[in-house]
Amino acid sequence: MFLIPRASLFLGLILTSVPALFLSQAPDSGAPASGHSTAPTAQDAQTPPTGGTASGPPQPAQFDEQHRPITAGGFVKSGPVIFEDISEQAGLTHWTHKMGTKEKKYIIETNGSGVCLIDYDNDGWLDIYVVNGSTFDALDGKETPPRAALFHNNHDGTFTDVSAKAGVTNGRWGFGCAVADYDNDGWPDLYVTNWGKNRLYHNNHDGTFTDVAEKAGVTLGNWSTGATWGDYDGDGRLDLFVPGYVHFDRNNLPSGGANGVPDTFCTFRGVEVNCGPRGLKGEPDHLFHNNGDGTFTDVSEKAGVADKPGYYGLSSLFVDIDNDGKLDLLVANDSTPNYLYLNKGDGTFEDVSYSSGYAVNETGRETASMGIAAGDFQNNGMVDIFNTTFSDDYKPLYRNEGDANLTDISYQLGIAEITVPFLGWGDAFFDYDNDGWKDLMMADGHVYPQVDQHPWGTSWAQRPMLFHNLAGKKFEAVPAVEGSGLADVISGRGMAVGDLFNDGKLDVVINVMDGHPVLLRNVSPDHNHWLELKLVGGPKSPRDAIGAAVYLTANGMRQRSDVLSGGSYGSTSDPRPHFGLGAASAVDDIEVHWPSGRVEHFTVPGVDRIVIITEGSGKEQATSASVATAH
Amino acid sequence: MNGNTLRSAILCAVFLLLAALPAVAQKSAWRQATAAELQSVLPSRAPVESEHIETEMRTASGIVDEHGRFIAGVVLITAGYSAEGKYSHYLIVQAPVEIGGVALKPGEYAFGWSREAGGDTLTVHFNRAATGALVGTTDAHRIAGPGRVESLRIWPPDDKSMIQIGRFGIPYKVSER
Repeated sequence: MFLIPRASLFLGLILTSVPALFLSQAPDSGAPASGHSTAPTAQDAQTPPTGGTASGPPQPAQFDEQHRPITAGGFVKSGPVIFEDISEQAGLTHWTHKMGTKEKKYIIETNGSGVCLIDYDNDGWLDIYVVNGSTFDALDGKETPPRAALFHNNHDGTFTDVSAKAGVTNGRWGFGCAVADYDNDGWPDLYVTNWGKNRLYHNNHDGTFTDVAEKAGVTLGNWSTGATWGDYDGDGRLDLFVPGYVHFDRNNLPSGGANGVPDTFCTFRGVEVNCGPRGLKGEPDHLFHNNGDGTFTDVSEKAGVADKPGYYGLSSLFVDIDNDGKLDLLVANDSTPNYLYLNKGDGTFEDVSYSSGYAVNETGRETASMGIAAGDFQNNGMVDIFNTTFSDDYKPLYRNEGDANLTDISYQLGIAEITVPFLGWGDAFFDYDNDGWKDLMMADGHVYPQVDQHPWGTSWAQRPMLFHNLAGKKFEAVPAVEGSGLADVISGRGMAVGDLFNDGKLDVVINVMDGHPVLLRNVSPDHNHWLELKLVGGPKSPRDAIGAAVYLTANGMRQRSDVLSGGSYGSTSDPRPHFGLGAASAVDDIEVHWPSGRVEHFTVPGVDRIVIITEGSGKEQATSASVATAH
Repeated sequence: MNGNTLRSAILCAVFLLLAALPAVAQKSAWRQATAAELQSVLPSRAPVESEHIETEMRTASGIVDEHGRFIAGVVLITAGYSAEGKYSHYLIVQAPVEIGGVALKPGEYAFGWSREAGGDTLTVHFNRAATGALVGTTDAHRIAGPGRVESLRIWPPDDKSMIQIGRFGIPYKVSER
């Protein structure tokens, strides 16, 4: 009998407390409510903004003491130097990227290109491949087409451009690259995406490559962007996903008020700029299944990842988001919702973009997503995601809550406001100071040259940003010391991270729009220990182990690092999992979750070294089933 | 059972019934509108002040009652318009509703938000779409726990009685009159 009163009281409590779930209530009135000022806010008072790209409202301009936009200034005179720009002495500045004209009249001229780190000759040292753009004049035969560059690592801090000999100059209007050993022959191959037909450069094992894209069936033909490799169906062979951006028709060039494109999609803050991507037709995405005989089959429709709405894809990444041992798929879309496809294990994917929280940012707004960084920044065994976006917008960091729930916590982490003026592209989680916590970096640069003519607090050329991870709880911007690599004001686009000098410190390469590539050598003054692993997959895994997840226990911490291809805007980083160990001089355990599903444990004889780990040579865990690893 | 206990039980039962009545009434009156219904009631270009702004119809959400009255909204693609930075959504109200205490009469509205320091609250302002006149402001608070993120979702009253913007929510109360 007492159940009824208790139930009714309970219900009454619920009913009366519903408003309390939302911490404040405006008065019940149709008039402007008290409790909040009804006067126009500072935001309301902004000059009417405009633009064809999804972004936040125009933000107040930020300038440094010398009245430079904060994106091109804000330097400090002294402090720890993390990166030195060694591009010139490394021999990279003889090569120049070129994409369209300086005016950037069309969107095809302004997005820029990626960079890949690839040990193409298997000498144990990472080489650098930088993608080049092109021009309409080159397409018309009026000038020599710009060429991509393959810089061979000379092991002495210098590099030599061997692209012509290697046969990887591309010569097409290039945007991205992705590295993988798709035929499991032990030599990394290279996929290059273009406006026009894409290239699949097969490694001939002798320092040269052969473009086999036509035979393989992976050329496509309009505007492809940041591809990713991964064995989505567990057959031991790497499959290929290629996002499509805009269907760009040279015979129907977009311009303001013409060709069916509204003027509003061709302006930024009221100033006329190149049109799009909004207002332009989207190019679909493609998933190619590796048939194992040098050919691929387009399974986009069957797999459920064909991008039927025609969103503007710029970057993609195969990575296991829900820790079920199967590779899921992320697609960063410009000015349209991002995709998160969960791998169902039957050759198809489930679109959980909205239910996961990845489709839009915390406020439900679509973002101009450019690049994807994936990494376990909290050391809890789950991969978190960071996306670069447009200026006037913060850059969302999606914390992995488990069960494919991603929560945008940029504001809580302290990386929201400070990133607003920047337009980010390539990005990566990596432990620059080897303290055991993955830090975060992004390359920046605007798409509209016109921003330099206006006091908007942003700029065409921008400095890269590095954030130090404070034990997984906050990120802190690392000051840009004058003369250091972080003070480079460049038109950053693609960015890749890797240990180019095999010294345990992760370096950064940035492909610069219409400029020379930038090599930032890591000179962090720390003396922390480290370990890097080169993984070799067994017969049931891709040989380069793309898709493997490694958990390393040392120093009282359990870290995770994955073998990935793609993600960062049009770029691929070092495939070798890297672990900072802090003061630890020993590793307690290395647990590898191979793409085949096998789980093995390994030990290493010491630290501060690069160790080759081969599937089948470790101590196998009792169950090969994937397990959730949060702790 | 003594008389007092019985009386308490009856009173609580009555309270329970009374408390449940609005929910019952709302359950019968309002439901989630279908995509087709939303497309029929929301414009592809919304009249906001002096402009007609494209809407992102895939973000449309709303409720409809047995009389065919809608409360429905959609994201505005304000890029290129003077509305950018001021409004994020267009809202059609065909029955009186209070959103976070801001009373909206039947009509067309545009709303937008600004983020409070710290990022835990959005200050949402509602304006008349035709004139831009401010009707009122209220707060949207972060919804606890993980869950589906929405560009806009107007939940039915018998469910959550909440307007969801991203991961933020505002309670609302719809009038049956």
